[in-house]
Amino acid sequence: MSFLALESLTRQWNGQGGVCDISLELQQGAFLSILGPSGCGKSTMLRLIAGLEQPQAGRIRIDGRDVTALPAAQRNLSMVFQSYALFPHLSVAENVIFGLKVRRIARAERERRLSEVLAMTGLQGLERRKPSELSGGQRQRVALARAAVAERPLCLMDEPLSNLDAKLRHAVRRDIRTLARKLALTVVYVTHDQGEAMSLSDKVVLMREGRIEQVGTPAELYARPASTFAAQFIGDPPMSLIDAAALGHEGEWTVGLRPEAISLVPAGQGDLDARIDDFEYLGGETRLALRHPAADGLAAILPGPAKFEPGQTVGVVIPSENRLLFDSVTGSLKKEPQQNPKARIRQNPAPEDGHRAPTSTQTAKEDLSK
Amino acid sequence: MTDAFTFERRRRALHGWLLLSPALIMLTAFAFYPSLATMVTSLWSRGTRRNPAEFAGLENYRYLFDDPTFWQVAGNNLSYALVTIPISMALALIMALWANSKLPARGFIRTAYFTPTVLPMIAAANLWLFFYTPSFGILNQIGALFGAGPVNWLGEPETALWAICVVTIWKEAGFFMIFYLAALQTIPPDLKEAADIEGASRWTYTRRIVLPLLMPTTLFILVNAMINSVKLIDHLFILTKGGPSDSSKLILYYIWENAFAYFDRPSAAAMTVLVLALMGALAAFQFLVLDRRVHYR
Repeated sequence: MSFLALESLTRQWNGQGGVCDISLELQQGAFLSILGPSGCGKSTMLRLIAGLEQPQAGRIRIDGRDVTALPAAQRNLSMVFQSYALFPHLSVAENVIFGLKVRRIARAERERRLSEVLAMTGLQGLERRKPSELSGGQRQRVALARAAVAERPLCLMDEPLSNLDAKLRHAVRRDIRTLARKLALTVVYVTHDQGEAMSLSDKVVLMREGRIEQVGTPAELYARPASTFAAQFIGDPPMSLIDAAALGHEGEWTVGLRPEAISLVPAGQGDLDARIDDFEYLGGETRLALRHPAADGLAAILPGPAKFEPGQTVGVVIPSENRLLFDSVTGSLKKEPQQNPKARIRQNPAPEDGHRAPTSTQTAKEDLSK
Repeated sequence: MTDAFTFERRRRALHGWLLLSPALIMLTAFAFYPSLATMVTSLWSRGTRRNPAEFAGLENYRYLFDDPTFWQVAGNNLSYALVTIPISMALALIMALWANSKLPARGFIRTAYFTPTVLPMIAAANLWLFFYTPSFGILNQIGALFGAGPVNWLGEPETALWAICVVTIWKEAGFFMIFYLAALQTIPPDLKEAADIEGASRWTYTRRIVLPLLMPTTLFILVNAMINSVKLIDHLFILTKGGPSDSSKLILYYIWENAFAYFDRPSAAAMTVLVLALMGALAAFQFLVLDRRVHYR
């Protein structure tokens, strides 16, 4: 029995935007990320679950109960807003216990829960401050504390880290994971940052234009993207897409492969000859942006330092066991690679920091997704 | 070296004074000097060609305090303020909350509320003169439908002041609503959503979140309403001229009468000084005491 179930949920505005025919199931205690570019309907989906938006079709079940027609307050969930939605005239403590007061929970109980969550979120000593006297990270923690103090099994988070700088984002990300585990929360987490989605979640939903593109564990999404869209959205740099004809395949295919599966040899000895556009030495690895007329976003990640010159032509070896075949027309994944696709793939594919300086191939993708 | 330094300092000072001068000149000509002159006038006796004005000290004030009309006018003005300020502010808030919600003809409703403020005061007063006309005015005609006898709203000492109050409330509420509406629109909608998820009712949300966030606006409106309550004069010219038997006379009208009808400038000046002092004290109370309890974003 799944804890959260969406059944062909639809909410659109004049036939566009929003979400269309979404079905999804989630186990209790799982961490689900809804990932996608801006305008793909991920926030709408969250607001539908929260009850802040009403679906035009479909049902929502939480813990076996049909909540489709229930108002937000009766769905037994908490929510962290992107803007934090802290009440500016109330102190930290009053903000956190606002909901408990509204629900007339006894003072002693309120105090106990307050001190518990303040300790959990590291906000002790700031109880009397107003939100305007807090830093961005502290405000974020107050928002988390307000969600945690409700002690509700389902917690919705709408891009909670997007207003923080890169360093804080990392720290708060860890706090969110710890908090979710400690309270055994089922979390639905909306983000446009694949790094957050990959590193936090048990399950990722990748959305595109109001529909689900792919659902799976982070590893599944990385290793076997269901479409060229998924292939190019996930990974940093994303999957390289090569016209299959250039590699001698029959038919209308596009070959996708992860940059770490590529190796380089002297020109003329590989499957393709490509020009090196740019390369970045990152200590543990070297990233190369390659150019070939039949390839889109061709990149390679080589272990250790590499000795190349920009503008140099090199041979690219594309091992057949790492090739994923996509239909060039529909973009969907068609054929299994002949052997285990994970054979040469890095163990932890998620970039630790979603906002690392993008490589040249990634810039285009990020621009599109903004 | 020192010369260059001095020159630079002077240049900056000059620059500062130049920037300051427009406001300084305007305020001096139309606010500081008149206030000071009024204060001086209030301390001198009324001068005629034969008896030039001489220093009278607080004589004018003593004379004023012995004048029963002054006390009646002050009482009228107090009742007028106590009735119009709370009612027009409450109405303004209710209308703003309503006009801020999702309504079909929201733009039309907002415009309709604001119309009384846009109308020139004299035109508005003439409009109400028709409403209040005995026997064939709209109010009496409606009353007649329900069998009520004709009432001379503006002609009876018991009703004249209240009739003036109604006109003021009608005019001010729409004006204040605009401020409330503007303030309501600065409250981010996700606060409402956060409160919804916590299970706060509409009333709890309004009382615990909206009203505290509107406090700066409320304070601002309160100051304005108080100033307006001693500033009303044009309606009186059209509607009652302060009558009957001073029952609807307000302080500014009485000051005007003293100064320009009875040509008793010292009395008018003394009253003006008292009004200024009262307003100053109220403003100080509002900004020093109430301000501390208001949350500014």
